[in-house]
Amino acid sequence: MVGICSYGAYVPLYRLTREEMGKLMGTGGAGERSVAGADEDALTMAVDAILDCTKDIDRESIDGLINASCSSPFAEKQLAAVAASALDFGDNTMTADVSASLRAGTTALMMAADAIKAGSAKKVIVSASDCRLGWPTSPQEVNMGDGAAALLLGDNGVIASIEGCYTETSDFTDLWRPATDQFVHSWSDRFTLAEGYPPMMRKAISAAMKKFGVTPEDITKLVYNAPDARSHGGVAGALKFDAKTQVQYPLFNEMGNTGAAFPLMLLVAALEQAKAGDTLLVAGYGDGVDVILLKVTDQIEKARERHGVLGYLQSKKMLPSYLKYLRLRHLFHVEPARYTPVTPGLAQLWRERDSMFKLHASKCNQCGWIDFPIRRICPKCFSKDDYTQVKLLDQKVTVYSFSADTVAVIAEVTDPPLGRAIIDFEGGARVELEMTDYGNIEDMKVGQPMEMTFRKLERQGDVAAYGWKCKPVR
Amino acid sequence: MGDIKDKVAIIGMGCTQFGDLWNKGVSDLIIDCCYEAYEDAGVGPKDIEAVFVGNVSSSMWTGATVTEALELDKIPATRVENNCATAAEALRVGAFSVAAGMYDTVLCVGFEKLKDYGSGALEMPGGLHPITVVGSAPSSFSKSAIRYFEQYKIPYDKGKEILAKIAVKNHANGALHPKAQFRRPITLEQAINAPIIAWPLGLFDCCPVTDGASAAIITRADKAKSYTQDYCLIKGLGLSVGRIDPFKGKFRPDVDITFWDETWVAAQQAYEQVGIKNPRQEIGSAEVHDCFTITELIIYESLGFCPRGKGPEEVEAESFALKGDLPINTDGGLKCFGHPVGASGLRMIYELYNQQLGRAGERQVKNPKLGLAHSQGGTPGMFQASVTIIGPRD
Repeated sequence: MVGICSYGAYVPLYRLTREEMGKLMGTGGAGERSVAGADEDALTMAVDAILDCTKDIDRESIDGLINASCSSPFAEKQLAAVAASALDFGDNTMTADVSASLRAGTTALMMAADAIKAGSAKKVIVSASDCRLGWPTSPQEVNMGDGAAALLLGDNGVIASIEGCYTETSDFTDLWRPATDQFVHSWSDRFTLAEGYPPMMRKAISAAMKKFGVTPEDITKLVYNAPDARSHGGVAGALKFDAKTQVQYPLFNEMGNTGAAFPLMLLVAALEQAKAGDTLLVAGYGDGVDVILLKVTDQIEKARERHGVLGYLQSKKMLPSYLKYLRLRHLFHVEPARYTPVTPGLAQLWRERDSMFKLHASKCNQCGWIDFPIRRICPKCFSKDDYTQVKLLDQKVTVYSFSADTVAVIAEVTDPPLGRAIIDFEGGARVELEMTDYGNIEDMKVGQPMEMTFRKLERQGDVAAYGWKCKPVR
Repeated sequence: MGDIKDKVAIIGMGCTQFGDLWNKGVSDLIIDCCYEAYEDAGVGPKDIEAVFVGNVSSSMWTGATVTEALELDKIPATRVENNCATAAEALRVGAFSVAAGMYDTVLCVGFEKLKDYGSGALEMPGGLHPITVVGSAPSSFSKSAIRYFEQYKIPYDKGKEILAKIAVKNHANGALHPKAQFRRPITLEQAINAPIIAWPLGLFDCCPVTDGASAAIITRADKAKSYTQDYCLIKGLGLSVGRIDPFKGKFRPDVDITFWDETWVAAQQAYEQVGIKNPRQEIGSAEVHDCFTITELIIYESLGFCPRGKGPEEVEAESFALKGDLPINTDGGLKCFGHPVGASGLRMIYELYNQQLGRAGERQVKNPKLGLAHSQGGTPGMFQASVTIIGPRD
């Protein structure tokens, strides 16, 4: 039996009301959207979602990672490979990016299931993450949200089995982003809603149910993405699903449309609320439609200790203005710092990756002293080159001391003031690094629990650098 | 360990105006402080046998920046660097060269020209990983303030007030020195309510970025009288360098950032050389590395001027004010006199030297006894701490 074995998600801390967004143009809207921090993008959110999904799971036992995104920071360079390295997946992990479509998430899920069914992998992580940009002040921008989901697929300890998959492909164009643009383009919805989303979803979901041999009465929750709340509601009605009880709540007013991550984030939300025996019908729209039938098993209760989508949505910080959103997305230029950034270069980043990228410490084989970064000579017993690498990433963390720095401003990845912290890992390592998403510095307390989060670091020349920071537990 | 006591004399010193010196280049700074030292010692360029140059980031390479400016041709010149203890280091190795009998008369110079770069702080050296290349010096030391308040159960408002009193004291002193960067007193309210630089440190908790240079001419103690009757003797030289590097994310759970271990060790070295048993009683005035107010508070304890945790009581009692029993930073310290990194160590000696020779004017302490200068480069967890003790001629 192949299916989902664990789930996780990531929703950034920041929210912005659509009322605030609309003030500039006298428009507006209901609810709020999630907004990634200045040091976040599709890559960092994918890593944090995988971290949530693999809580208490040995990531070295996972042999595949497929990431779905329409907004990878790289046009050439694989997001999944970076994530796999940061998260300490094994060297033989199959990694792939599935991109360029809003149904990339559901497609990646089907590909992973196929790899397991075919016997070429035992466990595969599917992550879906997006931090897309609508044109400033456009309805798209207002409607979107930022976030990520991750699902671990396997054939052992399945919490939701995959009972069927169905796909329709289409070259219908309603949204698109040319490779040379950073903003998503859209065509008039007089056309796209007449010929695109509503009829395609109706047709594909109907055909899928026929193939799977189910009717709406057999489905506990219909889980699907939509360009907006109104289109979303129309699908359920047309297919004779009870909008009140049978449709997974789409979170437009709490989070927004998170692109390729959207259907999988709604699936994670559904799993957070599901009970054994539930049947979920998941549909992902974009360049056609993917439909997946899932049956929740009695193992579901074993996968509860997650932030999840609903958990992350509960902790939030409101942005004061649309201008702040523009600042976090780097949509206006700020004066560069009057100093020359020091660039260690790719060779140094590469050779220091075990410590600095994977957060490995050294543990002395002679006296057991733990030190970060990896140190060749033990400071306690002076034994040389005699240590074992230990992983810090999944250890519990508390803060030893901290500060908020108004002098250091790394314009591209900081929403000042810049947080700094010295943190203690429960295994004995003490590390000084950046602290992000800390809210009000006055509320921070020595000894409070922290958690690790993967973020953008200061850019090294034209190379975007990534690494671990800490944040208060959300 | 050997000792240096009474082997080397300081026969002349010079110090430029400290501040935003837009119309002075590096060569100007060097010339100005060295010619003041020449004149003070009664020596000329031909008497200088070797030069030790301290500079962190304002020259390309080598000690030739100084020999070029001063037209000192084809003599030994060595550049040293020990972060904020750089100028103290120039004096230290210069003193060793004299004590070893290599040279009779040596010039030690420290300089820094920071204001040309338009930056608010020091440039960072290369080769650091971006995971840790974050934050300014204030935010490094502010973490010690957080821990200090926590350790000694000092409420935030009280802690801010204690730190502010240190800044007020240093401004009161610096206002009396014509070469200080800032020549105005500040009030307690100003200091407490100043904008936050790195929480909880505010503007007046932080020393400025400064241009300046300072120089000393030293010679064999037995030869000093042949130049001048006004001189001091080097009594002790301590140096301790830590081995943690927070710039690499490195920190150790056995390092306590509410105490400056390296400073303690450097002080003990110097005290032993001089034979000091009770520094609080035997030191007449001290110049310490008050890069931030929290740094000075912890220095009181790390130099053994008071027990651990008792610094705040001493601040409240004004023990270290100009009229206190052990005046500290009588020239305003880094906070008010300014902090051109590679020059500050010799600026401290300059003030002690003037106190020893009774030239400190309104700032003159009654009984200068022994003078202690303390420099501390680096950041909590890894310091280069230097302690220099000078005293009166025989």
